[in-house]
Amino acid sequence: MAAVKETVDQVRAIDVDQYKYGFESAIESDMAPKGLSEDIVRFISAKKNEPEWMLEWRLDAYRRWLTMEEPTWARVHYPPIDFQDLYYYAAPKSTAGPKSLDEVDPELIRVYEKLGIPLKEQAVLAGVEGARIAVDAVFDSVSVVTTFREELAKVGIIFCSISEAMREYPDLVKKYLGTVVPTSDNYYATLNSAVFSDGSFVWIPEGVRCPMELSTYFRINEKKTGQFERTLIIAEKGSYVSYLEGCTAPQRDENQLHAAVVELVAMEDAEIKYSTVQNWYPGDKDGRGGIYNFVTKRGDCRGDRSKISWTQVETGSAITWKYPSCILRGDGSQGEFYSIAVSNGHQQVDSGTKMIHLGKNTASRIISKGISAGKSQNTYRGQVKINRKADGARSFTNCDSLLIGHDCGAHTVPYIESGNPKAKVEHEATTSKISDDQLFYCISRGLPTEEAVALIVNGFVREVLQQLPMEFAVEAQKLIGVSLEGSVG
Amino acid sequence: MLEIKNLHAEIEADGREILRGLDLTVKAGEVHAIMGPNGAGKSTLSHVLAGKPGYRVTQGTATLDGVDILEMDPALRAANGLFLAFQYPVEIPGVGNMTFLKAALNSQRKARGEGEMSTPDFMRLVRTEAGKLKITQDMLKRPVNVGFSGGEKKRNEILQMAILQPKLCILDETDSGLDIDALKVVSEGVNALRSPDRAFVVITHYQRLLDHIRPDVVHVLSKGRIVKTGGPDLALELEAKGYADFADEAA
Amino acid sequence: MTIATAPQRRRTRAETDLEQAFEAMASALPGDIGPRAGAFARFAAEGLPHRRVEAYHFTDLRSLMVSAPPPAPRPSAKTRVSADVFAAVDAARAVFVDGWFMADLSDLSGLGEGVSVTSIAAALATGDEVLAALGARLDADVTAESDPLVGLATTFYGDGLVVRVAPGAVAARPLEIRHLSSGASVSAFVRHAVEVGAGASLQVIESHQSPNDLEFHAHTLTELTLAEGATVAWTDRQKEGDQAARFSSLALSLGKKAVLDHSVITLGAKLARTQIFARLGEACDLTTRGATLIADRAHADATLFVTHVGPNAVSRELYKSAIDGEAKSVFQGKIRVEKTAQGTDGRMGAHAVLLSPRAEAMAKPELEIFADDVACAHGATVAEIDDTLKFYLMSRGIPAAETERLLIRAFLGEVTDAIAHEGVREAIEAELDGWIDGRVAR
Repeated sequence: MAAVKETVDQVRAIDVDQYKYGFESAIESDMAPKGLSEDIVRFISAKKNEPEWMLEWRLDAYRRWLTMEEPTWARVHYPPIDFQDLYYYAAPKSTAGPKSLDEVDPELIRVYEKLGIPLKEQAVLAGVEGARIAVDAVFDSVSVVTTFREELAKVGIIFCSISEAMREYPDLVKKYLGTVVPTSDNYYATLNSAVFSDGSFVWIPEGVRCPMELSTYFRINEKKTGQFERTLIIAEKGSYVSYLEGCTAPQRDENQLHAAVVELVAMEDAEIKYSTVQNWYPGDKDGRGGIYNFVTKRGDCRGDRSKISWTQVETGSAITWKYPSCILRGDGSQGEFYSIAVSNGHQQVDSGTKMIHLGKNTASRIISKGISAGKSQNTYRGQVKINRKADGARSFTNCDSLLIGHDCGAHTVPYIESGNPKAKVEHEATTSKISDDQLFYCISRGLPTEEAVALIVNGFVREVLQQLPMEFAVEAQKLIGVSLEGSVG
Repeated sequence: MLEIKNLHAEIEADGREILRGLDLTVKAGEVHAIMGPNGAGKSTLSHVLAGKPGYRVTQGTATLDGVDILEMDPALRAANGLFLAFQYPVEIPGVGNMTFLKAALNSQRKARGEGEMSTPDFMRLVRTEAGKLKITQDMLKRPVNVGFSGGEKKRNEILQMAILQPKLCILDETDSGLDIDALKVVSEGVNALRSPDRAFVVITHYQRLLDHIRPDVVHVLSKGRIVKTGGPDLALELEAKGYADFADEAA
Repeated sequence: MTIATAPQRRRTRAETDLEQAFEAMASALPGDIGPRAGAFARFAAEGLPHRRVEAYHFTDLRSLMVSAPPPAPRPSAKTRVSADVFAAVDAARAVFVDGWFMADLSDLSGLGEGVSVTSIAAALATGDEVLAALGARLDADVTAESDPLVGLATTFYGDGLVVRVAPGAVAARPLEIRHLSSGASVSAFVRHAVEVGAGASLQVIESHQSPNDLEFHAHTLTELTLAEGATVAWTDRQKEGDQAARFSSLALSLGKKAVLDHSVITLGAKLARTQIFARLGEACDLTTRGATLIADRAHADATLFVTHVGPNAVSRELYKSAIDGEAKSVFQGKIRVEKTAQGTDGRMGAHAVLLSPRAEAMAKPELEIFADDVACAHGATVAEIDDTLKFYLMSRGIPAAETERLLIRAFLGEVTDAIAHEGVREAIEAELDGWIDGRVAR
């Protein structure tokens, strides 16, 4: 059909160099020497004034990491990473630690303004939508500022950088850090445990419903820098929090490494909603540069009737290796995974989730929408496991892939394991191109092809977009458009 | 025929009590209508009597011709003459309608110590009864209820009733989802089965079904108990005034 | 002959058994030793596959295959032949005992003009040119070639059938291939090559049977090629003994507009793996269905690799298992659509019912798509028999046991109903009923 051909031509013509977050900022940095060794681990720990136990924890992880091998099971291909050719610590010089906004380098604030991230509380307050979002801004290796802290503190919520938390709330950090993603979990998580520099820490006290969205904004700026952030969110009994995460990086020829770890703990009747819009630099049209994104995200539904919901919109990175998961330990706990993964150019995405049902009457729901264009490869990889004791567990997976163009691939690899007859597991998946009939129908009603495609793609991902907080959903929808520019713009 | 005394039942999963001391006596040859607002326990009553899993009887008795049915499994209740026409008959892919009817009839006969019905007799019986209910050969050939419209499913329920010849028929919201023509066919089917040694319990939210299947006794069920009993006029009264009064009475 | 071994790992007992067997009999194996030695070297380099080998993730042969009985010698002619489940079907019959073709027990008459059936052992003895072509398709398929079970069958096979149907020929009656056991604890290795010419048609009924309480390993490697417009119906039914292991590999190649209707019924063996490697040409039509009924501690695996190479082909895979006792069923199915396969229509379903609290089901239905103009889908479910259906049937007076029987049969019916040959279908349905009745009695 002509319309399809036209679309395909347009996709082919996409200029992936149009990455609009590709600017670089001239901000002076305080950096660790290149390479990785015990000394570097000590350097990072010292820079952050960490307690002794934290250093030991890191060194233990580092030594373990040396004995591990890089995983190869994902459908992603890249030249070997030279872990000695990276900087493991870079901090904007002007900000040795989180300060009040007035003290933050104005250049830095401009960077975030350029990214559309509001760091000025009053600016947000004056916002048209009236929506308030507390932001923790992480620039390369450190958190530069956290907004709305006082207001959150009034209801007892702790929202700060994890470095600060280690100093101010060591007992809380010690109690939970590494309990969801153990240091030995996997190659990248172990590396992260050794060298992680900053990230966010959230603690919601019992019975508190967090009055605003919490958010972290990650930005990799320095050259040849690995970003290893670590986020820990704890929702005590009966509490609720919605957390957003966004990321970008400048456009560079070489590949940059991002290996984050996110741990969520939900106690009895608590709920954590974690949303990500990932827009790291995906590399240029020939596949040069771009972020290698190896991320371990896991939530532990520790208490009965707790709930953890992951929503992700993945449009960036050269390589995405990411499986936000839920351990459904508490009886009646629920896990959700809503995902949109858009790949274009030479991007490679291998992403999905794991739902491990341990408790009785646990429920999981997986909705995954993959869109492949250009020369990209887009894989959904997911596991649903029903433990023998998980009576009454329910799991539903729906996994759809859409192909735009002849040179991309869309793959679906689900692992379904059930050992309990009282559990019910359902999985369905489809792969197709944009329906000619739908396209024709839209075009015959007067829509230009491009808009028709956009409309259909939006319909395709709608179920997931609806899971995002309103302001984020609008951004995400635009981002998907930009990522597929030429075909859905 | 049916004697329910002080019946209490709750949902097994959460312990919520639905039936709270229900009493009901239905004699052979009678048609009783049970009406009531949504959530009164009408469907629960039919499920508990038929033995659907998921409910727990905590007190009271229910006997059919003097025999306690609550301890029986659903199949034995059926063999003892109890029949529930479902509000939402399930689809059973892979099980042919005829195979199913024959298995049900012969299982019941066997349980009662009667011989199996011969295939020609069975075929004749089905053909006659299906004809009356305007059930096509195609519907008989298909798997049970698979691809049937709402009306076809209800007609299929009445066909089963006609073939199994139960003593006590419970019709659970049989009128829901039926247009007026289908309602007539179904009601005629039911009326044809009325006899001095058979009783009916007709559960419905609306009065219109009772224009077609004339009840002898009308009960109002509210909050798990029978709160009022009367003649056919009670149904008309309810139609005019709604259930608001009775909700209060039960409270 | 010495085999290069990886020094860092201790061999399992089964691996040692197989190595010793190969060393002992390498010189005695018929035909060219080259391909056999090559296959065994590949096997020995990796050893038995384990859970980190993706294709064996759920069927870890390193732990499941404890030992390997010695390759079977040709049995004496006096073998007691058990009753044939397909006795009522009018068919030509090729009987194998411990993997060896038994001419005197077989009747290959009446297949009609253009159908030739020879034993591989006979062909090897006379140097039949078909053997040169044997394995060509395996070589073309990396997935099959590198598979350790294919490697073992390639190494050790002694006999099998070469079946050729000339272009345009229509086999006058089905060919039944029966695989039996002499009662000896051995490993039987069989290799069949079936070539169906353009526009020709053939029906094959395969059955496998061995006694209980016998450690009997049955390996079968079948290469089936359908030329343009060929039509084949193939039913494979296995009821190996409760201590037996059954490894069956089927390498399929479908030419343009060829049609294959394949069913596999698994009723036995302690350890079973059925694997299908299919390469689909233009506008062909592959249907493969499976019904698995297992109990006790049985482990049954069905693994499919369906590769669409030509455009506009249709593939349908439907596998169902009913699992009782502490048994475990595994389904892995990959539909791969190559860039050349525009217009592919692929649909896969894997459904399991767990009949006991200790039963387990694993499923990995996979889509790997490199062409855009496709409509592919898969679905998988694992659950117990639907309570609502059970209650409905019981409320009509059907007792619990009978209700279960009806519902298990209905669940598997989608697979068995589709077997076109009435006699074959009825025989299989009777066996399923027998299994279910046996279950109810347990």
